Amino acid sequence: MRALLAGFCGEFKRILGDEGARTTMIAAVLIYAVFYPQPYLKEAVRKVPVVVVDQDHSTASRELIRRIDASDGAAVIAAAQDLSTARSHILAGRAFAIIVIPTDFERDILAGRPSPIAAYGDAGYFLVYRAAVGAISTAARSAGAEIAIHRLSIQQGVDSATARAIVDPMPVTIVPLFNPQGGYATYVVPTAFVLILQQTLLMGIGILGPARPQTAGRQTLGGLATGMLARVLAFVTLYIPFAVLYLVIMPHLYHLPRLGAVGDLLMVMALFLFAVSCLGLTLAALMPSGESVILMLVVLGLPLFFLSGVSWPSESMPKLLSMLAQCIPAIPAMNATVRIGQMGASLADVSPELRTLAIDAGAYALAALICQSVRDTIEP
Amino acid sequence: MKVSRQGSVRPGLSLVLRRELRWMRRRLAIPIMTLGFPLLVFAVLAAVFNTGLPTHLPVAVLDQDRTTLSRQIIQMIDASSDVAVAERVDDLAGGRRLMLEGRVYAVVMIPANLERDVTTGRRPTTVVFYNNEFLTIGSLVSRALGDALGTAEAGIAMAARLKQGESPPIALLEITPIPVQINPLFNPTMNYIYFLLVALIPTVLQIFICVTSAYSVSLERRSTLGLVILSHLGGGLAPAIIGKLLPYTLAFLITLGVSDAVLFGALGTPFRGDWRLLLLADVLFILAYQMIGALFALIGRDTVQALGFAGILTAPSFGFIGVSFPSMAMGSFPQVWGDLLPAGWYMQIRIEQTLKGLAPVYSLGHLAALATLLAVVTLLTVLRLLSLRRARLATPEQAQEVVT
Repeated sequence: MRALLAGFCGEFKRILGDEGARTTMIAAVLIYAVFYPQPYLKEAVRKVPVVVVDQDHSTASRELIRRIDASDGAAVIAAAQDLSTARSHILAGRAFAIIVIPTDFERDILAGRPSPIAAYGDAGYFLVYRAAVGAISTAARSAGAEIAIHRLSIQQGVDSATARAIVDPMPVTIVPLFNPQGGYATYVVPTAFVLILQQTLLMGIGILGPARPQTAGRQTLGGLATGMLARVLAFVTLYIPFAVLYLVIMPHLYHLPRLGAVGDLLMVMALFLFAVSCLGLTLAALMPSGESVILMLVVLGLPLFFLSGVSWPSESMPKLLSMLAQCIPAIPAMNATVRIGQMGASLADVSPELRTLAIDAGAYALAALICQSVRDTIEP
Repeated sequence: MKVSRQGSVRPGLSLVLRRELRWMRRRLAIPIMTLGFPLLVFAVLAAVFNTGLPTHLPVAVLDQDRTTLSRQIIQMIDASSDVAVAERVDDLAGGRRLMLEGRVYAVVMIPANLERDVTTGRRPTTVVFYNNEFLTIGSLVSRALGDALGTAEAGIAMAARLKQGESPPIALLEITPIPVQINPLFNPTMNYIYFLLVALIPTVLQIFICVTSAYSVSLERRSTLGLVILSHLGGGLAPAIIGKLLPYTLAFLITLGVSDAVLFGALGTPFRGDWRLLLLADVLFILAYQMIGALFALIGRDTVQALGFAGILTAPSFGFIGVSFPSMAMGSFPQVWGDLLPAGWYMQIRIEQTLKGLAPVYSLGHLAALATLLAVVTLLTVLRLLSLRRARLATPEQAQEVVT
């Protein structure tokens, strides 16, 4: 017990005494909390700028444009004379969609003929395209429904309730849950924060390096295990406040929704940080230097984010790849924290992820012990 | 020692180049970081997205009606290739739980008495709840469900009109008075995987280039005479810098070339631009990140700090360069920061000259911005080298070392 406490305090002294470790495990964590979310904070996939080419200049065409402008997905920023002028807005990146309302738009409506319009969307941005084109289609559909009701009641003498029932017999309401505003920050930041915790902790442990036996001569297995446990506990203790900062305080400051219980989040975090610390000690024992640990990890952030299943469904990845990804503690942890934090799940709802984290923690604890004792025998 | 061994050879570029190549062979980390590891990361990313747009995303259905009509609707949902009815639930709480467990992305609620209310014109409402926390998946699922239910509704509306006595062709025209003809620009196949991979390759590569360069130059700095030997071998600052960086430029160009050959060849990504312009941009992009890495190595106190700078600049840049979301929708700080990153300009040229197939003239402004950033970083690196040399010559014992 005394050895454990001494190792625990010793590790804290090492972290604070080593400039590289201190920068990575404290300063970088604080910088990332503010710096990383910057591009996403204002982002909402709403009010995508669009340009209109109104060749009809009629009451009906102006009414349709007003409807599109009033929608959630699109905002009309300019009117262009022709399609090529409108295209130049797209090429300059000022707008992401074009609506063309042809001449005779109103005449065809009044004559009871279908009156088509055209939409061109910059399909280079998935969510932007979906929002703009969706807003245009919805506006055209709802304007069309009113026209159809009008025709039925005027021309065929049907009463308006029946007309409505013929035109729209089974209305559909679509309700976005958990992120009703469709905010980009809500989508990206909480998940990426978990990954940043893992990456900085692993790099920090890599910089601190493998445990050096304090006493000369061979260490007993028990001594080795105690020393490692002390280090792991020190890392977890250091990072729990960062987890609170990343998952509770920063989301609050950024006005991101946070539903789940803080206690549940911390349970997941404690298990996650334990697993990451053991993985860190394994890497420190395996890799030749702290620099090589950094080189390996710094390039892995983006691929790991895409493997998480949050931005791209894990159902559509190769089975083997999504299974291997479970060996990285951040992958189950990202899924568990986003479901608890942003969606309001309970610990029971994330029990598969908790089980995976526990297996990772156990496996890496064992791996760290083995790798460290092998390293000690090779270079005492 | 090396100076004396090579003493008889005239200093110049080739000497520095030869030394660097020998050096790269001795340090395993460098070939791994320039060739093997980036290609492995690209292979993993290609595997993640290899199935194309996600299909058969699981959704749950709460059928409170259990009639022929409700079963038809469920069949229409299941027939959509985007979603699949994976679960049936008995109440909304059950649906919510499945969503929280991550087993379904949406719940469709078909109300009781749907069939009866539809036939009597009471307009019953069907509700779709979808998980919008996972934004991309939520967008796919909600549109697929909206389309499937919209088709089901159109069928019912058609039947109602026929009952009104309209002829089938007239009724069909009347259902959509304002049809929208939708034309996707720049992405005719509507395959976002192409956009993602075209953007992800340089985003990952800039991290590799910057950290490898920072690592290699900082090792030079770590040995007391590294930089001195370099400039002596080169017989001047310019050949020393070029000789030190050129092998990496070529290695990264090969890596980028191999991954682009796979991307635009084997994976069938459309390439509709000017390859000469793209190649020029490739070289400027690689040089810019090599220079940034070198500058960090010359500023940083040690290798760890140099790598830390390189990591902070390059690792979070995916968001700042406006790949996932256009930079015009960002606040002013991320916009300015994004403009200072060479990767942002390079990415514009890359997308314009591959997927969008714009005329080269549209990319020249971006190319000029990329070249300007490269010039500025090169200037800063040279200034830093000169100030390091002045500081060294000012320290007597080190100046002594140089002489002997």
